[in-house]
Amino acid sequence: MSDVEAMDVRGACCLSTAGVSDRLESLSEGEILEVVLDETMYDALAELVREKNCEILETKKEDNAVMVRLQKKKRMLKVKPSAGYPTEEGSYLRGNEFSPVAVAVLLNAPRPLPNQPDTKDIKIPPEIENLVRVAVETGAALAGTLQTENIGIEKLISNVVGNPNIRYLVLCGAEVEGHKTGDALKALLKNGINDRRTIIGTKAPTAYLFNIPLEAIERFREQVTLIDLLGETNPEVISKAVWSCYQEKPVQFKDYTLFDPGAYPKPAISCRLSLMVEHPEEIEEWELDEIAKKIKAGLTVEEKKVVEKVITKDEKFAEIGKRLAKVSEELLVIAKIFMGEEAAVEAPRVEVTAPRVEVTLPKEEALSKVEEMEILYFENQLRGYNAVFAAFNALKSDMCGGGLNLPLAVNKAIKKLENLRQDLGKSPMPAKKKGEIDSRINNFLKQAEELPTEPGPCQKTAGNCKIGPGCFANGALDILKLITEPKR
Amino acid sequence: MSSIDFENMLRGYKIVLGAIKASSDDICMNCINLEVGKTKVRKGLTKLGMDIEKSTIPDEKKKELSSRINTLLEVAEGVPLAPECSCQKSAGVCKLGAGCYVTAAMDLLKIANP
Repeated sequence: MSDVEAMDVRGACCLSTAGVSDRLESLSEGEILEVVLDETMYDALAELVREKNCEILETKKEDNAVMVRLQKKKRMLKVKPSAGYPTEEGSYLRGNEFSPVAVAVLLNAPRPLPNQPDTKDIKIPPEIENLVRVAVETGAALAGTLQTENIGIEKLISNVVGNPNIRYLVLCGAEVEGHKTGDALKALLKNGINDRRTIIGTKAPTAYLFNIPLEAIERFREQVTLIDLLGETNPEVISKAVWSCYQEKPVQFKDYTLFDPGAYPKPAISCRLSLMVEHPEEIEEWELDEIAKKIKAGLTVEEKKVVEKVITKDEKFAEIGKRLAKVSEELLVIAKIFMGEEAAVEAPRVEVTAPRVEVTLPKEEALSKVEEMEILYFENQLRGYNAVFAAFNALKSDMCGGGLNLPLAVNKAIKKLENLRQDLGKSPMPAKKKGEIDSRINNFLKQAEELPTEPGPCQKTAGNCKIGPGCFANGALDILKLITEPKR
Repeated sequence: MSSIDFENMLRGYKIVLGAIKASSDDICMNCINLEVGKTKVRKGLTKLGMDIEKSTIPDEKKKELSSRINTLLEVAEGVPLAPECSCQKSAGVCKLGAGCYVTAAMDLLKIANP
């Protein structure tokens, strides 16, 4: 307390005369000043404090006097990003690296594929490109697209932790349907990851962060505050969000109070993706523990690559074995041809056969939106039946063929198909399309004739089916429940 | 796991393979989910084979189950796929909504999980 300088200006006619104005001007950073003044002068002091770039720390009222403790406002700390920032390549634009905000625009579009020249021309949709551009032009440090819930998020983390000035992350754009990347990013910031390197509490199918240090993930979660604009595609809103983040004084933006808090008070983390697991979307749940263990063991990148290979070694051997078997089959065929025995050559046996159904409709004439939606509705239904009937066909040779639930499921599917045909009759789509769809419905109904429809005894009750409470036939029929859109 | 568990798993794979193979005639042929599904089936069957080998079920039964696994692996290998796959929802081709037939077909395996 003895270090605090005190000024008692009670009875002074104005703060300037009392020397407060000059003292505030000369106050250095970290120095604290205590001013005791008449209560009537308090508003004048508050105004002077703002003018002189100081801030009030504490105010105490005693009788008709007020004690005000104040200090010079700390200068906003900005730091240099790490060398090589941003460390990961991607589809983004760089702006002012001292800006406190980065913007991730969710991308629902195909990415150019490296081995397919005709897809290299595929461009990011202009409305998405525009959002990225607007974000950087408004003042974001980084703005780019984000598509995948694993490698995509890892690259984002890597680039953000390389720049401690970034304190806000604006998430915008329509959710990436297949990946649920927006949901994954929100869950990561809210819940973090578990010890299997999986983001906790997300609907994203493969939200695994295998390739980035835990330290970087934790830093990312501490360093940035999420501005959740998931679903927002209006450039003006994104621009307002970015602007709000770098204001010196707090401003209100939606439910957020935003201002530039300065750099995160720890050095930048420079990291790159290890790419230990290059295809996280292929990882099975039973592999997670093993992979997490290997990462934890702190292996070198090369060793890590070997680990991945070890995981897939058995299947590679299986693959080689299968290919060798195919080669020997072919050699046998050639040998038989030479010996005039080609007629005796048998076709390889395949246990599961899937029905082939034509699914694309030629677009010969312009269709109205209503007609397109109608066709889409029926096409989506029929896609489902394609999978359902293939599953039924696989089941019929099993014990389910003489059971209760497969025939019941088949009968339900028949009813649904007949219902679908009635709906088709009422549909406003062109007659030609109706005819095509009707023929596909007939195709399924014909397939149904080959399936069991007479219910037998329940195979669970009979003690034959030991699968537990589930039922494959019912499960197969449930596939149809996936058709949620477009609503009719 | 007992031989009943293994049998149930194989029944599951047979159905799943039927469903994903049927989906491969559709837009799903270009879809990353079909590629993932195919890989998962291959990996799952390989793992099942390893589990069967390690199990205490009679050797004769092991052989029978392993032979069924090999047949299913062949079928899995035959599921056609485009040379490069991407999510067809992200590509704007699949308009099914939030669901995915291939993923749902894969989920049928959960029914057989012991």
